[in-house]
Amino acid sequence: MVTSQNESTWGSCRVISPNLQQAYSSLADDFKFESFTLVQKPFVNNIPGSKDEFRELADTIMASSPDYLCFPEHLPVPSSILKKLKMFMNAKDIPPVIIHIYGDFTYFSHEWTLLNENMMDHPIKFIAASESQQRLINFFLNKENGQDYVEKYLFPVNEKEYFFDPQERRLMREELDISDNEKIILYAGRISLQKNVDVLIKEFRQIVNASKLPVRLWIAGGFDDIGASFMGIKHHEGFMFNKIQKLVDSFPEDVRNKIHFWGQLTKQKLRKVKAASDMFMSFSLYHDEDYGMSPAEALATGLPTLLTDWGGYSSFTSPAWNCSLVPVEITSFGHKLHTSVIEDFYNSVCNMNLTDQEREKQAKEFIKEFSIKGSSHKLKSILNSEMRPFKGFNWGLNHLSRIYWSPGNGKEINKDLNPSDDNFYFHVYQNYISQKRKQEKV
Amino acid sequence: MKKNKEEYVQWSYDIIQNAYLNKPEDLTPQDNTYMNYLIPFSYDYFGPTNPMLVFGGHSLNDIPNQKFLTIRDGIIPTSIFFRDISPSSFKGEVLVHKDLWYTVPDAWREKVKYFNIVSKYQYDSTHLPRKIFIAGALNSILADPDELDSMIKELRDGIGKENLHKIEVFAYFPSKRNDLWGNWEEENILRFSASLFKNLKLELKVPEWKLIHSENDYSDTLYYEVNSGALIKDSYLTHFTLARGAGLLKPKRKKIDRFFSVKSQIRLSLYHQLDILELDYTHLGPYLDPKNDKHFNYFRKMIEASTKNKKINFKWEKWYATYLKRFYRDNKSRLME
Repeated sequence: MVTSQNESTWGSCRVISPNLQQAYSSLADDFKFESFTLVQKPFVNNIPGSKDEFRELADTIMASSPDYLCFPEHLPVPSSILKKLKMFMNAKDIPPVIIHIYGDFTYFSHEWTLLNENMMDHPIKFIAASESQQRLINFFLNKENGQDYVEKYLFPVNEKEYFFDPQERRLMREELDISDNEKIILYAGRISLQKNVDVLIKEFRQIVNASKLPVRLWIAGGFDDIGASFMGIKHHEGFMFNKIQKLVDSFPEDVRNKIHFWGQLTKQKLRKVKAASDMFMSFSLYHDEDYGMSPAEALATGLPTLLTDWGGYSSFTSPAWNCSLVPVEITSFGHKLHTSVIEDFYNSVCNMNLTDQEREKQAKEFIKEFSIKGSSHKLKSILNSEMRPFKGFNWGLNHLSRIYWSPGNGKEINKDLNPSDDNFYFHVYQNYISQKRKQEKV
Repeated sequence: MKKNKEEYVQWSYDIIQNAYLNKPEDLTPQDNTYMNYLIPFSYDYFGPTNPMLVFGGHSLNDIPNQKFLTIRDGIIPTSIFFRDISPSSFKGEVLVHKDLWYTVPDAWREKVKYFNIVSKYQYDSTHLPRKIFIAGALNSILADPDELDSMIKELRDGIGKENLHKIEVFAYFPSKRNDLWGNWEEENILRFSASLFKNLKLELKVPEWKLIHSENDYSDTLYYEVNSGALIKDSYLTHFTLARGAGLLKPKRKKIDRFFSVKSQIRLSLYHQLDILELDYTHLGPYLDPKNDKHFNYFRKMIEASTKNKKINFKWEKWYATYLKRFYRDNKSRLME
């Protein structure tokens, strides 16, 4: 297991990577794991007798001859590590490689193309975190005999941190003076352009007008102004807050007062907020939403959940718990969300009126499949599955990296990377919409 | 219930809303130097009152019809702005940081309101933060060694030296060469560093900008900026950290504060806002014009020459900036009272 000393700058990766490593540790009866931590040592090559971190990694591999080399983290990009490793050892001495692919695969496309130069025909197992991501990676891979060879393993949720506690629900609702029949819709996550929190707020207004029951909207998380720079959409600090604030201010006071922004919350507080809520909604169209830790944590607390049919979100549906999808299309006018389902979902959750026991049952069903322990058998079967030689990434990844990393990109609207059904974007991101809708479109 | 509803998501429209802050493509080398020199403090932020560094290349022709222009610059650029621009060219209001009220000439007073940044959280020795994030530049551009020393002491006294061991302190002091507008003070990084260590503590964490900028949670953190306000008063880092939950040191009440009254408040994030203030000038002395100072007369001829020769003009501005800094420092006690 090759890990990095540096903590990820992405909040969700700081949760995912340790959970993933715990999932590997739970297979200790079947596999023996050895870890190697990359510690950056700048200028060490100038010091006689010192080794840099990649030479140390090569020496460790030679000494312990592992059966597999596994990369459970997103940074440094494994392709760059493998390139440097090849400076110190022959490709044939590098064991078969297991790589967990994260959402930033497209962002770092220029680094992933390095695999073509360095690891062609080497046994590599790619593991994506959702079906959509699996499709997206397959889209960029040359196939051997037309066969897809990307595995799927959904990132596990830490069951010790997220579960449903009826007592927490009761106390929190009492504390905030929320009546039993009052419904709370929750969004938790970053309030960022691509998360479409403004769409949720607009839909909430319509729900308030139509609902027979009192209803509130809770939004938990900090604002960010990342925008969508790869499309050429950049914001200044504070823009998103202003945009959302202006929208909320345009509502009548009685609707405005039902919207509450919690800001950044600790894990414990967020679990309580989730317990006190009645349903979770997220209409994110984030690039690259390969998984969706926040909805996963909501489902782990038994919350009925409505998500966009986009990226990793589509993988959360199951008859065992309550998760529905808002259909998405990529059109010549941008993304189209079929929002009729929102009110239907809201009404169905209100009519269902889940008891604590029913909600606990749903939470447990989800945890059974998505917890660190519960998902370990899937990880085991993936590790035991056949390794195939890497046949290279196709022209698509090269093309993506060229337009993504061209000097002018990010400064103005990029026609190839903006949502439309007649450009390169469509070819890449139609993979993010579930298979069923894609077939309908065709 | 209405069926078959659809919503189109078109993010590119947001660019139009955000566009007014875009700087012109043809920035002069001096403008670029100025903006780049003050990075990251000079990065743009978005606000309904058009916050901008007027000395950083924003074309004033672009904003004649704006309701507000908020001057983020410090004492020197603000003073130069009021020297060069006529109040009749603005239809709206100009906002100036409340600490710089004395740079506003009489002719501008009607058009000027003041602003103050207020954080939801404020810290002192009775309400301690979990972390202190201290930022600035280790040179005389943002604070010379004496100013830095007194500002760090202000922080230390506000929190209480005895409390510092309980608090994690991390610092960000990007190194800047002192080549903008002449050598105001002799560079002495050791002196700056000694002041930090002596007055705070030795165990300071020094994270890289990448980490500082990717962090989304500054809750329970006191943000303190070592900044004399000579060049920039309203810095990006203040807004960035405050918008993510950081607080400021509880301000000491100054004599001038009783003449300010809050007229409106504009929220900039969940955790901080802009107070818009009016100043009652009736109890204040007349505007102290830097150009009426006795030391200034020696250089009148240089001004006249500068209007004819660009090369001299640039040198003149360098000198004038240095002159203003000294002028405001020498007159600090008179102006503040």
